[in-house]
Formats: sequence, structure tokens, C-alpha cells
Amino acid sequence: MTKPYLRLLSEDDLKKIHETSLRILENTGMLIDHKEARNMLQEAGAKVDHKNKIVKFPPTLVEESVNNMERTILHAGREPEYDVELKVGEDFASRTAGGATSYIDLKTGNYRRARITDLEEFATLVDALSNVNAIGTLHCGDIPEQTADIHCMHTLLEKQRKNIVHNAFTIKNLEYMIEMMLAVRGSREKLKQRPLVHTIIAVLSPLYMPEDDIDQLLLAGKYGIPTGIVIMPSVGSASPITLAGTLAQGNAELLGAMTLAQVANPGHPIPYFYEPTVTDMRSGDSLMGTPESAMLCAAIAQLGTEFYGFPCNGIGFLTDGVICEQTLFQKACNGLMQCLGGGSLIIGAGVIDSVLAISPIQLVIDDEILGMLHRISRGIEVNDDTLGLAILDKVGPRGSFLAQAHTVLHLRAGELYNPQVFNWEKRDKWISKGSKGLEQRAKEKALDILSTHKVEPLPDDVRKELKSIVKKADEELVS
Amino acid sequence: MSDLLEAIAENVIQGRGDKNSPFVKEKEGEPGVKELTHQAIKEGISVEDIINKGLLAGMDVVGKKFKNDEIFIPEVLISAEALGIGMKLLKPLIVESGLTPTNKVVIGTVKGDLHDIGKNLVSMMLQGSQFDVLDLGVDVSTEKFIKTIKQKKPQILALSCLLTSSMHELKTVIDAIKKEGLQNKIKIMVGGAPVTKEYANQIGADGFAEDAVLAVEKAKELLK
Repeated sequence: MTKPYLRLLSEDDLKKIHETSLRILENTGMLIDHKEARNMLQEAGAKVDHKNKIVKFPPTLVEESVNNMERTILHAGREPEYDVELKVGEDFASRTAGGATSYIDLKTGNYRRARITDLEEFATLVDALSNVNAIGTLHCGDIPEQTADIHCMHTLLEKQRKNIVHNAFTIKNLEYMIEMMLAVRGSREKLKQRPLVHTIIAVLSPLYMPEDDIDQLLLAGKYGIPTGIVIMPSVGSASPITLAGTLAQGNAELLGAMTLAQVANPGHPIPYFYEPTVTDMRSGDSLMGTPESAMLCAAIAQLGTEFYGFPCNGIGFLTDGVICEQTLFQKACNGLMQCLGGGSLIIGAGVIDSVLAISPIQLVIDDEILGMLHRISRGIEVNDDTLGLAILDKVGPRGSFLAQAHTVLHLRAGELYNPQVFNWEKRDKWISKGSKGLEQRAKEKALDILSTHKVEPLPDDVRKELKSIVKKADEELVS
Repeated sequence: MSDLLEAIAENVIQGRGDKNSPFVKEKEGEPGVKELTHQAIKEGISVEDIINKGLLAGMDVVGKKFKNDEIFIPEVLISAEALGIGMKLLKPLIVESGLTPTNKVVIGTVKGDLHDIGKNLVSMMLQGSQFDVLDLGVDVSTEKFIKTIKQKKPQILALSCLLTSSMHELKTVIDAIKKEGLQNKIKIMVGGAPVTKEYANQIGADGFAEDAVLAVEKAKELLK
């Protein structure tokens, strides 16, 4: 089947961006604030200025490292039925985004500081919604600050079964979190085979890799845990205002981080991912749902898949809005651009307000939009059966296709999308069913899931072990 | 005996008219409504039981599933078709036992309108629920409706239109029925894409339904 790819950039454009990225890495270099990492890169052929911590990457080192990297990324769930494998040309997956501090209370609609019970609620919903494949964290206010990430990980491991994306506050915290992953998986080998978490580290644009993030990258690499490199060049403040320049810089930052990861731990799975934001030239804030964001989502997906052959992550579902009218538009528009660009992981389900808040109602609506995007992503299948010559001949002029086996069989095979919370009924019927708006319908679905959906608990001994790891972490890290 | 009737109901639900039906992969080659109805007749089960506890029991479940948004129109239609296959086999016995359906419906698309997908759907669904349906087709004149009502004396007249430009014809027909003094002898149902409940009330129709399954319910309700 032909996927409906959107191509914003020409072959020549892609090449120019790649070459510019190589020039950036070769001439300007990156600030690598990590002695061991600099040594490893130096040994691999990079030019290193230890005094200023600058590493300059020869193009051959970058290209060789990137060529040797994994092109398939497995985001495993607790059980294999929740696994998603990201691969170029396959249907995409989606996840929530981590780091929000507020939660939109499902019952009252109030925007308030998040609590750990909110994360439990959100995890149950993610577990139940089939189009959301992985879950990020929520920064909760009612747990110890220094170990909030560990507490969140605990909740996510227990309350839902999909892949977890998690950034640790420090390398020390990551060590505890890996201990927790090992407790669930049983052994290091099993964890490597089906990593149930993918970690996140940051490169600070422009061109700076902090020490603790590198520690975390290297540790995750040792365990074979996939790592997303969060690179957020803010167009016009942390990268050139021109979109092409931002693409070249973000690409350089990613290729540099990838090179380090491959030199340190060959085979460390890293998706093609960077997420430029757009500087709001009135406030200085970072924006994520603008038309430039939409184009960048598509362009990054194209660059990653077409030029490098990687499955691509992107922030197609981030939005700057807080009200449904705007969040829906931005998510639908940017998500579609990323999806048509060939992106493999759409990030931001359930997240609103520039990733400051999580909304359970938005999550349910996003699950629906994702369903529609999946239909679009599958494209139009053309073969003798789908061309329907035989059935048209049978039905003939003035006939009806409705009661034909061809119709029923293709309907059941998913030829037509069937909405869950969108209303496609005409006004009379809509009124007869209570005149419910989209948010109301989504809220009812969320409440229904919460009252009926059950997540199988982890075995007792694993739960006990997790509890004791969290306790140990609190004792050591909470002052 | 009840196992056999249950199997008939189940196959109606699955739309499996006969053993070659493609709708349930793992049951291909197994008897469908046709074969099972044959068997029921052979075993001497009463026509009434085959209809009520077999065919209609199955169709009843189909209607409920449709109402609960569990299945779609094409799936209702293949069930109605499967039911029709069973009814056809029973027809000679029905005539023999005097069980002919008594609820007559005349249906048609009004003048100036050539659309019939919706009307045909309603017609099929009504037949599936044991209504005796006389379908006058499309672009039917008021005179033809009146003449047919006088001749055939149906309990229900069902009028369909798709075009907003032919909506006023619904009222023309209803007015003519009133003028002829027939309005107490017949219930009038209207439907079609542009028709709303409000409009139906306004032009003096007795019933309106949003879709073909609800139309059958409405027809039954009107005859109570």
C-alpha cells in the first residue's frame, strides 16, 4: 500500500541540511561537559579542546556512527501485547508528553497543581485507550520533591501496562529507576530484550550537552534502554529564526549526541527526534502549535525517514492552547503534518498549554483524533478487490451497495473510520441523545473507563520490591 | 428443538443466509439460515415457532445491537436478507396456516425526487419485520398514492424524500389524504435526509424516524 507521504523538502534540500549539520559539528563543535565522554570521542577521532570542553566531530566519524545505528526501536509494554515497534514505513504510534505540573480535574474542570492520584487516573485511561501507546510523567506536588520522578515511575509501573517514557532528575535517581525496571522484568537480559521504559535526556540548544544528561545517556546505553534525546532549539532564540537553519542546527545536535551514544555503547537504540519550538516574539515563551511547528514536524519526519532511515518522533500533538477549540485545531493540524511526513511517534496526547498541563478529557479526544490519523496513514489500497469492478457490475445502475457482502467485509476490515466521541449524527438524533458537546462526551467516556477498566496488578513480590526501592530512594535522596 | 431455533436466530444475527456465506470465517461450509430452516421444517417444528423463536428472535437482537451502536446498517441488511431467505422457504406453509402478515405498508419517494437508497432500506427493514410492503418506487405522484391507498387499504403510508426541493411534496400528499377524508384510516410516516421531527409534526405526519431501524419501531408503535 502506498502511504500518503507529504514531502516538504526536495532531495537537494535534505542533502544541504545534512551537510550544514556536518559543518556545524566539524567547525563549531559541541560543548560536551563530561570528561569521560570527551575522551571516548577523542579516541574515536574527534578533535577535543578539553579546556573549553569543545568537541569537533569529523564528518566521517558522524556518518559512520549514524550508519551503524539501530533502525528499529522497540518500546515494550509490561506484556508483549502492549509492545510497539517503531520502523520506517510502518503505521505510527503515539504517546503522552512528560513534565506537566498541572492537571485538569476531570470532575470539576479546574486547572490545578497535579497530585499523584491524578497520575493514577491518567495511567488508567492511557492503559485503556488503544491509540495511545506509551505514557510520560506528571510532576506531582504531593510527593517528595527530590524523588518525585521515582514515585511517578512507581505509579506508572503499577497502574498501567504500556511503555513508559521517563526522564530522571539526576543520574542517582536513574539508578534507582533502573533498579525498579529490573524488579519488574526479572533480569538485565530480559530488560534489554524488552525495555519497558525509554529514557529521556537533554541537549541544551545551542550545542551544549550537560554532564548529568551525558551520565544518564551512558547508563541507559549500558542497559540497552532506548533513549530519546530532547533537543528543543527555540526558533529565533536558541536557533536561527529561519526554519532551515533550525533544522540544520537541531539535526547537528542530534547527530552529535547519537555519535557519542554509539561511540560509548554501540547499538544503543535512539530514535530520530528533535523538537524545535518557536519563540513567541512578544513574550519570549516557547510555542509548540504554530504553523511553523507544523512544518517542522513534517520536515523532521521527512529528514529522519527519507535521508537517514530512522523511525522519527515528533511533537505533532503539542499545543499552546488551553481551550478545546484551539487545542483541537493545533493537534489535528500538526499531528496530520507529522503523520503525513512519515513520523513514527506522535508525542503529546492528553497534553495542553505548552506541556504545562495534562487533561484527561483532551486525552480521550486525542485518542479519537489519532484513530482518524491512523486511517489516513493507512492510505488508499488499490487492487482488483478494492477497485470493485465485480461488485459494481453485480449491483448495476440504480442498485445499492449497502447490503452487499463486499460492503460488509470491507466495513469490518476497517475501510471506514467509526467515531468514538465525535458526533456524526444529524441534529434531531443528536438532540434526542441529550445535545452533548464533544467535551461532555469525552468526559463521560473517561468516567466510564475509570469505573470499569481494570489493570492487572503486578505480582506481590514485585510490588513489595518496588515499594522498598522507593523507600530506600526517599531515605537517601530526600533531605 | 430449541437448539435448532437458537441456531437459526444466531445465523440471522450473523447474516449467514446459507452455508456459503462469507461473514463468519470459521463457520464457512456450516449450515446457515437456509439449511437450518429446511431442517426445522423437516423436523416438524411449527411455522410460528420457526418464525418467532428463530428468525424474528434473531432479528430482534440485530435491531437492539444497531440501536446500541454495536453494528452498522450493512450488517442489519445482511441479517434482514438472511431472514428473508428463511421466510421464503416458509411461505407455502404460511399460506397454508393462514399466518399471512396483516400489516400493510405502502411506501414511495415523492414526486420530483429520484432518490431511493433510504426508502429501500426502510422497505427492506419493514419486510424483515413481517410487514407486507408495497413499494411504489420513486417520483410517485400524489394521485398514485391516493389511488393505491383506496385500492390496497394499507395501515401505513411511508413517504420519503431526499431533496429539500421536493420536501413540500410530503405536505401535498398529506393534504390530499386529508381532503379525501382518508386521514383516520391510515398512519402517515415521513423520512429522508432533510426531514426533521419538527417538520414532520408541522405538516401533519403521524410519525418520523431518523433511520431505518427506528422507522420499523415507529411503524410498530403507530399500529398499537
